[in-house]
Amino acid sequence: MISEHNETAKFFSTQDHTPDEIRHSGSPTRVLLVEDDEDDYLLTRELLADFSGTQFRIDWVSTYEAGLTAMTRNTHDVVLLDYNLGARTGLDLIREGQEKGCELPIMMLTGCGGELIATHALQLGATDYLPKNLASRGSLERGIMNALEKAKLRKNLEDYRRHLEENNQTLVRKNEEVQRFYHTVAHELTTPLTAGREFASIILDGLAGSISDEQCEYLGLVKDCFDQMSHIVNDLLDTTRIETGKLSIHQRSVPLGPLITRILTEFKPVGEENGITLSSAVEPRLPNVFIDEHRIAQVLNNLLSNAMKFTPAGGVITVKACPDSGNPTHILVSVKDTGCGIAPGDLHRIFDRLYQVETAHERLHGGLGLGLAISQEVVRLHGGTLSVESSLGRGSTFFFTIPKENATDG
Amino acid sequence: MKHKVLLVEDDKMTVKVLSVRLKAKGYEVIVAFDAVMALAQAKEHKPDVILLDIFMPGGNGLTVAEWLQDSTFTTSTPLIFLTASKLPELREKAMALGAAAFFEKPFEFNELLAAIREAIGVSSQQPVSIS
Repeated sequence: MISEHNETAKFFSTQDHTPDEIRHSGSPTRVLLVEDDEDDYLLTRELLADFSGTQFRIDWVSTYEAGLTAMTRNTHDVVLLDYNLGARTGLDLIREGQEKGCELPIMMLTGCGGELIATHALQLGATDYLPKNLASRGSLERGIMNALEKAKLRKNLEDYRRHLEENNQTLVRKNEEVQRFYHTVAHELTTPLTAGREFASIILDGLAGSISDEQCEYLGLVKDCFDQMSHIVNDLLDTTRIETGKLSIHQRSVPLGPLITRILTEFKPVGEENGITLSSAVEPRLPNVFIDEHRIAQVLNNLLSNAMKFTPAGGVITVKACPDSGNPTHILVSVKDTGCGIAPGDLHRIFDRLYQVETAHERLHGGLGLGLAISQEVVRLHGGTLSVESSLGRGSTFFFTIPKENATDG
Repeated sequence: MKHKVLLVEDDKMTVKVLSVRLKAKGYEVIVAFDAVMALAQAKEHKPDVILLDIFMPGGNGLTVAEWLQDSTFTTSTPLIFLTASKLPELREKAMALGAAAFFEKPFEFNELLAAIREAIGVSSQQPVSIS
């Protein structure tokens, strides 16, 4: 028992004392004895005084009130506490003493049949107990030493716990500061990026006079760069919103078919450029969906962009929508590609915010790789789920579910 | 006759971009850079629609909206809010004030254009209320 405590103590504390070391450390152990019976005081004094090699200094108080005053002063090393204290009991004193700031280890002295009292005392925070009829020179001293040791270990543990708690709070605060900083940076970048993009568009649209074909081509590239940067900055903003729980959606009833058609139309030129066929299979007579149109468009954009990235020329990307057989209140949308697929080992990691499958292919395409993490959160806010099925070399299918128009009523 | 758009916005870049775009679509654009100027311009030009930024020097766009709704000249003029902030409560407050639309920057110009067209169309069908 003792050796076990010592091992723990060495782990947590830099100042270890075994009971032996305490015993021979020189300064006497200050014992507060709260005991209403003078005979018992005399007996205790005798038991402790007589023991060779150990120095105890006993302060004796005989009433509850005096005990309370002495205990809350916290100037002793250990309290020996009798159960019977006039109208009140030692249990009351443990409770009140601790409430009023007593931090000393307390050893309860019990009379015969005191097991129940002892259990109660331990529950209240007493360090140990000793039946009076078993008190001998050896047992009392051992009891006190064990109580001191236990109290020290408890304190070490408590210090350690508090230390961890403080560290944890510091880390949480630091993380919030970092998130806020990212958010500010991204937010500050948005305004000039938008202005740059808009002015490039204004010139491209011929609203500032005519420009040559070459100028038009170059300005188009400038606008593409702005678009790319805006995309990255928006993903960064969304990520900080997710981290701080501030991503919100504004749902309304929307027909899904036209939304899918519109997004596929936007992707058509890129598909043609890369020799990829885009097709859709939206089940007819689907009810409207109750969604944030911008956000679900963002999810579809992310999934289609990913599919584009990983599908070689000659491949096919298919978007499907049908009722969700597993959930009657939701619609199931899937984006299937014939690309390179995802290794089983990477499947569970692709939704991680800071994870990108490390391939030359991915680096070639750039981006922060935040799209899937953001999409997953957007779908989650809609009460749906985003999942993936894939095997290497055979392509991937991403599935997500979104609520039907009246899903929230039921 | 050209429809008049009052643009209340302190960011010069946004003012320039939207002015060029709206003029190209045939609107007359009146600009106010702050809350006080917004009221003066509204009174002088009686716009068909007012585009309001929310965070501006000299007054919150939501407060300006209340002033505009209290003013006899603009009681029934449709309001469209533009803001760079993403606070969800702003949208709720704006909609509670009877906003015709609410846009978070950056937004697609064509979507704003559609909202302006709808707001002017809808409001012209309503009887003019005189308070």
